[in-house]
Amino acid sequence: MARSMIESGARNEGTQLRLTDLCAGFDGTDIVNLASLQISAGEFVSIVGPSGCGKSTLLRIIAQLLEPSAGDLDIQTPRGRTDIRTGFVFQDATLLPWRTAESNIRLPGELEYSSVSTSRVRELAQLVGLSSSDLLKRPAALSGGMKMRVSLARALALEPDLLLLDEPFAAVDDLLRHQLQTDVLRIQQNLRITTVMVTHNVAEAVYMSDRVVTLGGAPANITSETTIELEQSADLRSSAAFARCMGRVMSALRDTECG
Amino acid sequence: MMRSQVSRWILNTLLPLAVMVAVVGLWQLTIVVFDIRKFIVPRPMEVFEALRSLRVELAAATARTALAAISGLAISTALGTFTAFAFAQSSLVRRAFYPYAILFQTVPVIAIAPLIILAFGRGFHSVTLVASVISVFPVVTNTTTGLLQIDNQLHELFRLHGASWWQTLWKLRLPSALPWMITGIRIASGVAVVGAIVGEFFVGSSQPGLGAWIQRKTASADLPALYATIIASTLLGVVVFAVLTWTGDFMLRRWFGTKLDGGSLQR
Repeated sequence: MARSMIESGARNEGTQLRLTDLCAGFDGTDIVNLASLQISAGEFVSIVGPSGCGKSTLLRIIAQLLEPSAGDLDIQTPRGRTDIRTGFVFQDATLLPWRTAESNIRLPGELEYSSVSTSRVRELAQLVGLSSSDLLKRPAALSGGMKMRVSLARALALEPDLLLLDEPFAAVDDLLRHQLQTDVLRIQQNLRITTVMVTHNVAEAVYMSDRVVTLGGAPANITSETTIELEQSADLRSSAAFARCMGRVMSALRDTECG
Repeated sequence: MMRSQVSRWILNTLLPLAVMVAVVGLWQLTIVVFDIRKFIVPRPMEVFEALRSLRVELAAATARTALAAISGLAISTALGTFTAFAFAQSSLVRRAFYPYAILFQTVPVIAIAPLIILAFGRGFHSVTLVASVISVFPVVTNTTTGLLQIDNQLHELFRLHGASWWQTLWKLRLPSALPWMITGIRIASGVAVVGAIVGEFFVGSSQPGLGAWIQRKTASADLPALYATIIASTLLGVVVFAVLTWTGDFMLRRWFGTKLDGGSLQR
């Protein structure tokens, strides 16, 4: 959303993505058949579409959790092509219930044998809005919103090249969702991290993204792309410009069918 | 609030006690009304008297049975956990053997016990073996389920960060399976006590535990002593189960910071 447009080439410090003729699915049936999608450095792109149309599958291909059966996934990080670090925020907080918040945040470091320092944990906690007493609590003692913040801190722990969000706010109430959207957006803009979010919430996509991509068909392909150019303001969600953007995405979605 | 808690506690304690008093009363009443002979059903007072006079010997027999049951449970816990790991690791192994793990649970212990004693001889070791053979299956099935019921997104998180087989086992599978494993061991504990007593039933005086007592007192038609033995057997089962339940609860509380029921982990 509101941000100076990404000057292509002028800022090369972020991660760029290029997906070309990408096919993927399960048991020989293609769920996704994507002609082309490009995401520039520092861009926030949302993928919206009907439930079960392959949004999450696409996100998992980008996360390299799922091997495409054909096509090309090209991720250019400032540090070179190998060793792409991905931060992933799942629909549920997906925390280990026997670990404290702090210990959950340290988990990616443990798994990748690059320890997350105590000062880094403090820094992350401050970034996502967790107090030092929250860090000592186990998930069962944290509210839904706090669990999502821990999940976000964990995704950012290893300074990822790419942030992937899979319907991260689907399980929280409206008021909290708005708060989390604002916070995640602020963090994303501060870190200038290339972000791809899957959501079925059009308002969320329009509010947070630089570009909204709709996905549809069977196998799923991109059916529309809407660049969002809105000025950031407190009452953005109730502005006429916001409503116009939503209308554009909604009408694109209405033409989209899911197999 | 305090008052309702107290009254609930009184209800929870007094009601079962009242039922016990009523049952003992009914027992006595039935004997008097129908004029049942002493050698068919003993009087409640006779049973209490037997419990009192035999308490030392009965306690020794109970301890012997308890040792066999707990040893059997320890073996089945180790063996069952190991088997469950094999099942969780290889779907081929699981497909081949898992149906039998379920099938064997339904084989009555009373049928297996003589076979084991025939093969391994009389004595403590055979009783322990009977106890472990029948208590291993609840451990296997529950632990296998626990090891396989991993939250899909957690699994993806581990894959995303390139977790090794060992890391996934140690940091995800094993801790996730813990509540299931504890449930399995709890169920196994009750079965192990039954197994030990049935085993003793067949080995006779080489392992003079509760099972041997039951057999001996039946043969000599010493009904009050037989009833007393049955009460001791029941108490042993209850105590073993209660201790394991309490320990399991305590461990899960420490581990998860909250009480968990069954195998539910999150949400």
